[in-house]
Amino acid sequence: MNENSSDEAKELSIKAVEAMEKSVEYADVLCENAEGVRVAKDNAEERVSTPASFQGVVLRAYKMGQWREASTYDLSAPHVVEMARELARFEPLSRNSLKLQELRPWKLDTELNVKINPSEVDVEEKLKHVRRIHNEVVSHDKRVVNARVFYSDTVLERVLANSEGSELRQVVPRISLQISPIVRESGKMDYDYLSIGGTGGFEVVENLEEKAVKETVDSSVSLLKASAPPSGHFKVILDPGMAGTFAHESFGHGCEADQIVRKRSYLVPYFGKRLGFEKLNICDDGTLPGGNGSFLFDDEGVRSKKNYILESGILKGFLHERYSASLMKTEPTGNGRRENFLRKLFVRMTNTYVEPGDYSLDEMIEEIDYGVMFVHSFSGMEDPLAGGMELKSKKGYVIEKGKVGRVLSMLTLSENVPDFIASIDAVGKKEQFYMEQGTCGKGHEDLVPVGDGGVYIRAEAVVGQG
Amino acid sequence: MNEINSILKILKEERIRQWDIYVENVEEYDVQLRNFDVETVRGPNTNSGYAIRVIRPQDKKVGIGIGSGNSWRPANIKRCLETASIGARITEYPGYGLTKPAKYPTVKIADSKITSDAESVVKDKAEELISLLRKSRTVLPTFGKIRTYNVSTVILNSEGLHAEKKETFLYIELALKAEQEGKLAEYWPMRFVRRTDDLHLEEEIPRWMKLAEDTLKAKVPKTMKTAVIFHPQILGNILPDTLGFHSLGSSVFRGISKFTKGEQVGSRELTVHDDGAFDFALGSSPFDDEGTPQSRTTLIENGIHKSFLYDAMYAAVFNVDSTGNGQKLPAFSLAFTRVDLKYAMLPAVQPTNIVVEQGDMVLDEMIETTKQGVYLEQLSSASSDPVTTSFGSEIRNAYLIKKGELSTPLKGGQINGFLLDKHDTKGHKTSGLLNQISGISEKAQISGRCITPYIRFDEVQIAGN
Repeated sequence: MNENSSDEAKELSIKAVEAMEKSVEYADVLCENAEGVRVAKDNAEERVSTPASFQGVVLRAYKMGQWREASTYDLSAPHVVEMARELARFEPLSRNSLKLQELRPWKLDTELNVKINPSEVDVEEKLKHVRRIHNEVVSHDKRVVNARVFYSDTVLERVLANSEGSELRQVVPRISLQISPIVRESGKMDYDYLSIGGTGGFEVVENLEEKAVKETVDSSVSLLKASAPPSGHFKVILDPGMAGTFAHESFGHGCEADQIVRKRSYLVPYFGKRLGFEKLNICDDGTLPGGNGSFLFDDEGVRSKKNYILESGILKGFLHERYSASLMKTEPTGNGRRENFLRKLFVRMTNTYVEPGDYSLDEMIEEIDYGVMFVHSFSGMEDPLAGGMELKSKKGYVIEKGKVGRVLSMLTLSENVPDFIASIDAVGKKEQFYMEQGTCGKGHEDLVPVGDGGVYIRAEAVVGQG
Repeated sequence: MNEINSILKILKEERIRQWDIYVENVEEYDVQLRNFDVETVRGPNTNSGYAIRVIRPQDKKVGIGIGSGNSWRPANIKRCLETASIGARITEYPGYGLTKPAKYPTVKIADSKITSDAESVVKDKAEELISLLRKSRTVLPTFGKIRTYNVSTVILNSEGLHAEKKETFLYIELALKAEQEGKLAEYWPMRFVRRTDDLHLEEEIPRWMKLAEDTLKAKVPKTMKTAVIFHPQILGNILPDTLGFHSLGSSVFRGISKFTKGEQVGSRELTVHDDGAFDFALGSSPFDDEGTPQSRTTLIENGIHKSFLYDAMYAAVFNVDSTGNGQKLPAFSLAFTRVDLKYAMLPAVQPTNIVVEQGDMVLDEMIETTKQGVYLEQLSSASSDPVTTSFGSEIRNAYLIKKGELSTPLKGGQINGFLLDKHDTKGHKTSGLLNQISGISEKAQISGRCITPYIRFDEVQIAGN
């Protein structure tokens, strides 16, 4: 959004709030504009797509316990103001007396600072880097049959005004780079991947070293010799990315307070109680520098912050948006997020991670007689009501008699989450800490950017082919 | 059309010779439930997006650029066109030919109830849902959502092609909770259909509630290899990403398809088509996203691989006709289509609807003829790896089959395997699931981008206690 359109968005959001505020208990208006570039190259094609802009506005009003929303891509002021007037006249289909708690209004107009703004790097330069990386992949090993390099950047501007008087604007750039070399030998194919990025600028790509690219190819080649994972219940070690996926999928989703309000979280009876040992801390932190889920305010104007979910093994808190916080008589935690103006706001995580402890990876491995190590998180799925979990990794290793053994490809881990947390007996040192970038769905849709990570952890779980 | 004219005017002014335009207008309504209460009523939520592709033939290759947006201001359209022109200048594709005008088949893809009054449909369905859910005292909803989509699409290109369509979708997702003596269990269904009549809530809700209640008594399975009957909803997730991926002309060109024409890739009872003209299926349309007429392509016949799928690009590369599979879809996870933001994507060859031909067994007979096995209703994610066709997932709702009858409910543990045959580096082969079929049901269901019956596979790995 250029300066003019930012000013237009600010003016529009204030006018639309004014059109609603006298008829409802609370109203907010969020204008967004996303711009970005995607560049993909593999052995067959080079794809460059440049969404010139994706923009829209969502109007939201609250009355007698019910929300009413409408959204449009058409940002002309008369149209939006008329929509706002119409929306504010809504009659709730069901009623309750819950009043939203009032928050102190605030103002902000800022852009997240990055070294190299991706919108100032031309698309040819981006393609040049993607070609360089692709060439590094295919020239490193003859067994590479196809190499896919995917780069994307997005600069997301969101402008929010509400009936409390808050007027906010933030610009958040995000970068993502993924490399996956597909290798083949005697009819067997496999691949590993490298994924980097988060909130940041083009320097993330410029700083990528050839060594990391080659290691990804070597790792893919090593999977050609991989055997099937053992099936059964074992000691497991999760690398920091997998530990983050565990913290997010299996634990974080159960801590989203809208699940508590819906009576859909297995974690309610555990609130304030010990779930894990005293060195286990899990946070959700929307302020983490470089985190893919970082921002300055959430999509209902609440400042982002660091929230402890599990502190010293004890379940400390839930993540909130305005409604759940009002109902549970607590403060919103800055976790009200929506995928875009067309989608509903829910309680969502930001950057979720396991804080460092005091174990080296060698110590964790040495103490295992037989177990499995999971590396390179592939996916995860939540089970907020029943407390199950499913985590997949692209790669793994058997651990036998305190040593890392044969390599494994595509593994699944599942377990009852409280049992899994209770079994965690080692948390890695801060030197191991890193974050991965990803997206998170609420159920089957509504994807928002998040970060997952932390340090190595050791626990027990069911293991199988992924 | 006035808005499209503004794009055409700019294309003419800029003297762009080879182009296509894809315009998508979407209007959505939804109702979101918290327990039995309406939490949020949403709509109309509208978007109108366009994508302009510029094609620039080079020596032996082709440059293609795309610019997309939803701002119809002339300055933004011009910017979009500029970025598409840059893309066409700097990229390299193996080939391309713009689609010529053609006659399209009649394919039913719209529900008149949704096109005429979507807001009422969504509110009525929410009321019906609440009323059906209130009939149970033991199983309660935790959340629910119902959404309608009205989508209209126009495709134009410099060859004179002009294709238009109107289509509808209805999405429902809810979670049902059963509770007994502090123990919790859930069934979490999701359905994506074209018409309100495709959603049989009166039949489905009691069945879904029973699944939630039965899961209260569920146990973690033992680690074993056994026969497993897969629900169509699970196959709808696995098949497009695996069988579909290896059927693509692009996978052949990249040297990563596991299929060779004429080879046995599945059991003899397996016949599979790609059918983009199947009435009211989710991947159906009179034409694909490049304007090529939709048709039916047989992928596997009696276990033998027959044909691959092509879009305009790979049809040009292999010098064959496009099979109408140029789709604006994400590369993976085809089961869940983003119908509201399709326009911004570049078309690529992808399956439309994977149709597995029905067998001759009713589901009860499949269960009765299973001495020992598992009936699988729902997995945690049911995702799979397209390249290796490996899949594995936590079991959410299932039953053990003993002596031909459903017995203990199962939850937890995993199901694992490979859909297609797996090779090691020494050339040894292990049979994939498609080669282990021992039963196919006589009824099929639309599930995601598949129309598939229940299928029983032998010797499937279960990981548990």
